[in-house]
Amino acid sequence: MTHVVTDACIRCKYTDCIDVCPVECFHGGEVMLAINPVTCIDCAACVPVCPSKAIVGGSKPEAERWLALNASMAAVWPQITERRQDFADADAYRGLPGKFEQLFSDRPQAD
Amino acid sequence: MLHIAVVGSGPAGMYLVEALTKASAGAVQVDVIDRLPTPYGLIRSGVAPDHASVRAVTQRFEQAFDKPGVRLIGAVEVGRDVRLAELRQLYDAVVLANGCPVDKRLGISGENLPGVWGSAGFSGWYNAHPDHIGQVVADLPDTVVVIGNGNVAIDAARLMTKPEQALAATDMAPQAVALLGRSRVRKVVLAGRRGPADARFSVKELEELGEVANVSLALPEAVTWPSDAEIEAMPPAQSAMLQALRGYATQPTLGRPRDIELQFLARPVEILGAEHVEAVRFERMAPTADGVQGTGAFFDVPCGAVITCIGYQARPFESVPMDAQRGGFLNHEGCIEPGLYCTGWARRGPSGTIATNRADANQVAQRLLREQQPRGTAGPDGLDRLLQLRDVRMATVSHWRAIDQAERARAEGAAPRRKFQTLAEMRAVCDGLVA
Repeated sequence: MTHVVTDACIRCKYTDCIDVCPVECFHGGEVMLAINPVTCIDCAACVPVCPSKAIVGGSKPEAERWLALNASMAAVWPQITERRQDFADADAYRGLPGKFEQLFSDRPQAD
Repeated sequence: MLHIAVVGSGPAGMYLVEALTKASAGAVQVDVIDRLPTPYGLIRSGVAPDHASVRAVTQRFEQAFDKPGVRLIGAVEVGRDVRLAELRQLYDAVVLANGCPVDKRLGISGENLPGVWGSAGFSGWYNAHPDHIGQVVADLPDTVVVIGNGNVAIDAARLMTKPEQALAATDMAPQAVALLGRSRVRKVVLAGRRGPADARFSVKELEELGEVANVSLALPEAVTWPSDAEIEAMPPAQSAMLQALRGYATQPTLGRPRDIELQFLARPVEILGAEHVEAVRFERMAPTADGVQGTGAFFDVPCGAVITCIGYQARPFESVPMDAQRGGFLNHEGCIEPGLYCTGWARRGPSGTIATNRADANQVAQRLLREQQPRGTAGPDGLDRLLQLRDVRMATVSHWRAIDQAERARAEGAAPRRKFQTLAEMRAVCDGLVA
């Protein structure tokens, strides 16, 4: 099993999750993170710390549409092991609907 | 080459090894000493058996032992087989990563009655830790009180209410599967001194409870929940936890064979009973501006067993000064005294999750490498000679892997492994290993 990052992360990318992951399974895209389903150990430490509540357990119904995306993006995005603040206006994007259709990018994060 | 000895192979010690080897580009030799032949500390003996996926973090730690210059020195106890003072002479630096394995005491009358267990002993028992296999030998009663408002308390409650079939599919010690799965337990009361907002549960653990038992919540009438706005304004983890708790308060789950009752604002003041636990006496607490205070009203919860999940502290070790407040050893930013460091719970007290140890270890590794220079110590060769002179047979990583393989091979049914429970059995596997 695995956990997945959902569209709630898009354009917020708070990265609070990075600090609490024991296996460094997060990968960084331009506007959101992805969880590598192979390395995730389902410890769920990341779930409570995300201000956007963007992470869900892989077996939950709301996770289904994000499983494939996390797997494919984790394969191409670089591993992210340190917190960063890419968006100073992250709070403005928290909770907004339609973020995937309007804002998703498959590009890896800049260095 | 800098010679370093790490005492303890749990996540604290293993993240430290990673940090040392990475930061020094291999200019270190690290001996990781554990008194068990089976490494990884609480990952093996603390994580609940039905959270098997978490144990997979050890795959990452296994890689550390394959690096040149890193050794597992298992079945060697510092203090008994080699003194700390001797280690400090043999190595350029020593790091204590031996955790907080001792249960904190309640400090109330009746605490020593049969039927009262600390969570370290209880979880060590169901996780087949050689120190604790004799912890519980009689059938559990119909009501058990668990004291504590954290995930350790939830683990105890969940594992006492899960059916035998579910437990049998884990690496839980078989005698614990039988005693817990087939027990008379009908109700577990989980009691905390403070209110719901101060609980340290995580949502995932709370949700799991509702899947296996009838979960209800008992809050004194006068106490009100924080408003929706107040809950929204809390840090995300606390806010989500309160919402989950409120869910159980307004809609208890039903239809399971066993009950879990979450009690708040209840401070245990005495454990009652003649030859054995018969009840816990609580004082009802009331919230104040900055905490809780006793109301002078008492109530008894009849029960046949008590499990205390109120935190841990370090075991007294080789006269190293202890930090009575935080629970670990006295240290300043990971340094106990020049050349002697600590990391993990031994440094911070029993706080944080698995990953918390990584940042801690990185900090200590940087500091150690900055402060220590090779002093021409005897290092690993010196330890080997000393242990040989004392006829102490260490268990290497090859021995551990043989034990690991054997445990997995002898698993029954859906269980991933069947752990060896005694050092003698583990020794037999090691002796059977053809070098």
